[in-house]
Amino acid sequence: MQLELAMEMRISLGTRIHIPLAPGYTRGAVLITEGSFSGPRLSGRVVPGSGGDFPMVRPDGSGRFESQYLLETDDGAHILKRSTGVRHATPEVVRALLAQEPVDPTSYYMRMMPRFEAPEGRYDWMNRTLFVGVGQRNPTGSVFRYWKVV
Amino acid sequence: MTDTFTAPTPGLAPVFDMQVERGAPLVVGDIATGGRRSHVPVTGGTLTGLGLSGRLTGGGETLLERADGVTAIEASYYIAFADGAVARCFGTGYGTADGGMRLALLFEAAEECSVAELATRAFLAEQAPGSVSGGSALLSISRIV
Repeated sequence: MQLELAMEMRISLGTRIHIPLAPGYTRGAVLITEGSFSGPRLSGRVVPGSGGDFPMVRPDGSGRFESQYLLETDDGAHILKRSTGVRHATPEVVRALLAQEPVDPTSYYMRMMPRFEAPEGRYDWMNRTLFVGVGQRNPTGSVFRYWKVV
Repeated sequence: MTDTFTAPTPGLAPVFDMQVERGAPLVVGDIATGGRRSHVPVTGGTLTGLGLSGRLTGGGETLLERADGVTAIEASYYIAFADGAVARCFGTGYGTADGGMRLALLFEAAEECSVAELATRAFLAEQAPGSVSGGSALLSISRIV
């Protein structure tokens, strides 16, 4: 198996909601206001209002991600993106991330494993392909890169 | 949009061999929401690598042969280690056209146990078609670095 760059995605984040499920367990909800993506075989935008990231955050630095939203390609196809991910970082890095302070993206481990549902046709290779993603937060939002497993 | 991307480029580091012993499939059949559902129980096997050696004590692979011809897989494997630690390895993936499969996997384990670190990383697994023999197959598992 090898990784081949599939696309870069830039998103702007809107409302942040925290659901305190139990002491030490918080479900976050970070809604995406807008975004765009571009790669060798697809480009387009994130459908506004179609979803967000829903991380489970632990005070010890571990976290799991669940995200769901829709992509719209430049030629009008809609693709459902759902992703699971894992983060592991020191408590200091987690505190800075939660406070939205600048954090060196190499100072923590964060990997996403998205799945796609694309219509029949030129994007249906995404329906049978594994992907790996990494991301970083910038002052204006988040940037992700996704590699396909070939 | 001039932000520099400085996050690490991921790679794959082979870490485990998982020998999976499979039982007879349970076939649900063609379901109303589309596709043919079946389940393959895990009856045994081993996980070796990173200085660890565990036994597969349960789990299964739940398959949906979709209308588009792709088999979508939800897998879970329970692994018991010699010191009493137990991990659950779970994830999703696809069958490949040549009869193999690929999975994206995470682990769960008790926070204070000897294999707790497995839960902090993401993994990919590949079953090569040639690794299947009878009810036994080899999954090569790589850590996403």
